Order: sequence, then C-alpha cells, then structure tokens
Amino acid sequence: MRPEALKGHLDGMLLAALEPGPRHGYAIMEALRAGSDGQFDLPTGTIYPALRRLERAGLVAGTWSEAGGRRRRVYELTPAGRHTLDTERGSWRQFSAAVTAMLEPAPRPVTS
Amino acid sequence: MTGLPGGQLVEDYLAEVGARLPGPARPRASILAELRGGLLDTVDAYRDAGVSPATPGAAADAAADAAADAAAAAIEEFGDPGLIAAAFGPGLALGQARRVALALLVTGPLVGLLWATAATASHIGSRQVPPWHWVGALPGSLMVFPLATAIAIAVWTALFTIAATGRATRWLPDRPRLAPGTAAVAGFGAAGADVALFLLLASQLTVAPGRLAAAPAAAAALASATRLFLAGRAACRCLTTRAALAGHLSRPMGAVVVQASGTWCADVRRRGRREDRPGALGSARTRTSAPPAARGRLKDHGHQRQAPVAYTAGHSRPARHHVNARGVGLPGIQPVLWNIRPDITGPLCTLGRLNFEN
Repeated sequence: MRPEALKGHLDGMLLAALEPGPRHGYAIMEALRAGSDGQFDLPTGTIYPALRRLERAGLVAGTWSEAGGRRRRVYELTPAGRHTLDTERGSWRQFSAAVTAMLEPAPRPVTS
Repeated sequence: MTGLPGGQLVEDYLAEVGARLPGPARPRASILAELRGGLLDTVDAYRDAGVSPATPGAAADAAADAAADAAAAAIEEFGDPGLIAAAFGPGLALGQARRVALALLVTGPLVGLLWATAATASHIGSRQVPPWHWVGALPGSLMVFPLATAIAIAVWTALFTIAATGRATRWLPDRPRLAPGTAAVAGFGAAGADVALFLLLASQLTVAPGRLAAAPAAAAALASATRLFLAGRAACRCLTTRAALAGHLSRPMGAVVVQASGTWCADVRRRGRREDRPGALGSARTRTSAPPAARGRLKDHGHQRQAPVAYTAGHSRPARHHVNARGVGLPGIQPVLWNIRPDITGPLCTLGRLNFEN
C-alpha cells in the first residue's frame, strides 16, 4: 500500500494502536504492521512527528521511560483521544460502507 | 550500542536529522532522544531477525558486519532524514512560538509594574497629572500613543499565538508558519514598548532629573533593557525558524542543508569515493566563503573544515550533504538553511530564505 493512501488516516490508526494500552514508538509501529497484515509499510520515522502532533493536540500523553539504558517515550490515549478515536471510527464506518456500496458490483437482476 | 559499528551509523543519521531541525536546542534534543530509542529498537529487531545470527565460532568482524547491516537496514526503514526533520518542523516552530508568547505575557506585567513603581516613587502620579502632561514629556500623544500601540500589538499577538498553538491545533487549519510570525511580531512589539519607555525616561531625565527616584527608575530601566534584548532575540529566532519552515516545505531532493551560525555560506566539494550503500559515510571539505555583502562581518573567512557527509545510495540526483559548519558569526542567530547545489560551482545562497534553482 502506498504511503499516500494512508494520508489522513494515520492519526486515527495511531490512536487505535494505543487503544489497548500505553506503547512506545517502535511498539506502535509493530502494532500497525501486525494489525494491517504488513500492508502499512510507511517509513518508521514518520510516526514520531505524528505522535508529537497528537500529543500537542492533547489526544495522547507522552512520558519518558527508561529500560536497559535506553530512553523511550511512551504514549497513552487521553480521554479526548479516546473520544476522537470513537468519532473517527464512526465516520470511517460510514465512509467505507458508502465506498463499498459504490465499488462492489451490484447483484444482477434475476432474469427468467 | 554506540560502541558497535552500527552505532556510529545511527548517530550519524541522527546528526543529519538534528542538523535540519529548526528551533531551540531542548525540544530538538528531546526529539533526537526519542528517535534514538526507536531507531535502536529497530536495529535490535533487524539484528534479532538477522540472516546469520552469531554462532559460537563466528569471527568478530562478521558480528560487526551484521551489526552494521542491521543499522543500515533500520536507517533505511526509518526514512529520509530530510523528510523526518521536515515533519517535525511545524511542531517545533509552534512550540517555540508558544514559549516566546508565554514568556512575553509573563514578563510584560512585571516590567510594567517596575515602571509604575518608578513613576509612583517619583511622584509622577497619573491620577493628578496624566502621563502626557508629565514634566518633560514630549508634547501631546507623541510618546504615549506609540507606547500604547506597541503594548497592544505585543499583548494581542502574544494572546493569538498562545491560542493558535495549544489544543486548538486540533481544529485549526495547518498553517505552521503563522504562529512563529505572530510570536515575532509580539517580540518586536514588546521591544518597541521598551524603546518607548526609554524615550519617556530620557525626556524626564533631560527636563527634570531631580524628580526621578533613582533606585526604582534604575530597576525599571534594567528590566526593560533585559527584556528589550531577550524579546528582540526571541523574535529574530522565530523569524529564522519561520524561514527554515519555508525551506522544509519546498526543499527539493538534492538540496544541501548547511547548519551555520553566521552570515556566511559554504561551498561543498565532495572528496573521496561515494559508497553505494544507504547511510555510508564519506567526508567533504567545506570552504567557508561569504556573499559580498557579508564579507565585512566574517571572522574566519576561507578556513578549511572537515564535515561529515551522508551519501544516499541509488538516486541519480546530487547526493544530499549534511555539513555541520557551526561556530562562526554572530551570537544568538539560529542555524540558517541554505541551498547549495554541489553540482554547481560556487555557493547559491540567500540569507534566511531558500533559493532553489530547480
């Protein structure tokens, strides 16, 4: 899948990846890959600016954690983030249902 | 990790991203720390899934090669350093603008309080005599209007900057260059207010120096002088960041980013063999040279410097060079981006603005 196709949906998917619990950048990337069956293959570095943007907007909260001498920034959903995720989910369902209805071949009328 | 051969590749990559990040040092360091953690995690994942895990009898250099390969693969997966830095740019600019605006709004009332104290202690009461009737004040509104205007501009633009850089970014249109601009206006407004206050003080000193209470007036003047310097510098830095964002938004592949701290630019000459591997390192010799206008301000014109250069494999356009050539020029000026095409002889540069030829 081309990275351009993800444009506009990355924020929602990052929020969804954080829904099960707090995660750091690499784990979020893993979750995106595993969740999409390897379809989402975007440059790993691009999720970090996106996470910072979500943090600035108050949708996720980041804290530093240190394990094994390595510093990682761990993100978790805020209540506002959870709400936004619900909204995104609802509008995506509507959108995808409409696109599916248009793109799927219509059942042929039965002729006798 | 940094002790291993792959660690140096990681650090070089981070240096290349870091050189392209605009704004103050602390947020940039935080971003680089986060990227380092993520990148090292990715390197580990590649090494763990390595083609040939180190066997008991494996030679040390084979392990080193595996580490370097894992680092190179992780770097490739992470993406182009220019793209990553460009994606961080708007956030850094917003953060910088917000901090400047907050600092102005916090310090403004303090400076005002000091001046009010000085005026009260000098018995320049506004109750009995409005400021434009002060002894020694310039006639009419000549002094007070500029002061009031500067304060109004500073306060409103600072408030706007804070509103536009907080949680509201969720709903606002994506215009990252706006906030650094309004923060710069706020900084210049505050500096203008200080200048107006100094003019008021000067007129008072000229006509009736005996009426001034020396200590409170000196304290107020000192506070204003400090604020004048800091606000002016912060405004200039915001403008630099704003200019850097313009570069990020339109920088074509093959552009050269030079991190510099003065009014000069570098002419990049590539030396050595270009290795056909992502993240491979070579070296370049940079020669500092100045545009004619800046030549008089240059301190070490013509010095030779060694700088790290990262070559990117497999693209036909000129290789991207990161030249870290800090250390010359005027204090307090943030890195400025220039476009220098290594395939064109002589520097192409515009201070504070990128000048693209393609």
